[in-house]
Amino acid sequence: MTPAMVELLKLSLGLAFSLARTNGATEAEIDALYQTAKDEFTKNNPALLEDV
Amino acid sequence: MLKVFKNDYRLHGMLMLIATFFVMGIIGCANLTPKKQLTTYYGLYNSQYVQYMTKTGWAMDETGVWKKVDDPVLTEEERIILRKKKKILTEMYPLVKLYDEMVLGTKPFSAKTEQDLLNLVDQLSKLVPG
Repeated sequence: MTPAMVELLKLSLGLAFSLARTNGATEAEIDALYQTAKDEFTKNNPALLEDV
Repeated sequence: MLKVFKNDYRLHGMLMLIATFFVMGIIGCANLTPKKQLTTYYGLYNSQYVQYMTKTGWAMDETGVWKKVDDPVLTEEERIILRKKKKILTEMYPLVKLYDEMVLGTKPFSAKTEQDLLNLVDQLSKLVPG
């Protein structure tokens, strides 16, 4: 498994589990999750997706 | 075992699908507040974006900038899926930004925007590797 795949898998599973926590999370925890995801989103511009 | 996993794109796809369904289940079944739902949209977009970039040979460096590091050989089947995914992510990006503004109260709530986002999430879930 390549490092990229490991990162991808970790990200997907981490995302799933972190979202599963949101229902029981405090407002501060939700805010932190929201800000982290939003910061990452701003780096992930679809214009960078190359044509295949 | 790891070598098999590395080359088995169907297995990669299935793992991503499981994660996607898990997230979609949360969106669809849980009674999420708008901010939780927005966080879910961000997370889903980001995970699918990273998958696309990784699959096309890109990696994020330590400064958080995407760089082309590889030129992977893709099958036609993979290319078809990636083209569909790119179209969905490109449509999803401005809608998630708009939804953020709606949740923060800087734009009026739009049921159409919310429905359009759910439709795109549904389309993402249907990108099953053949």
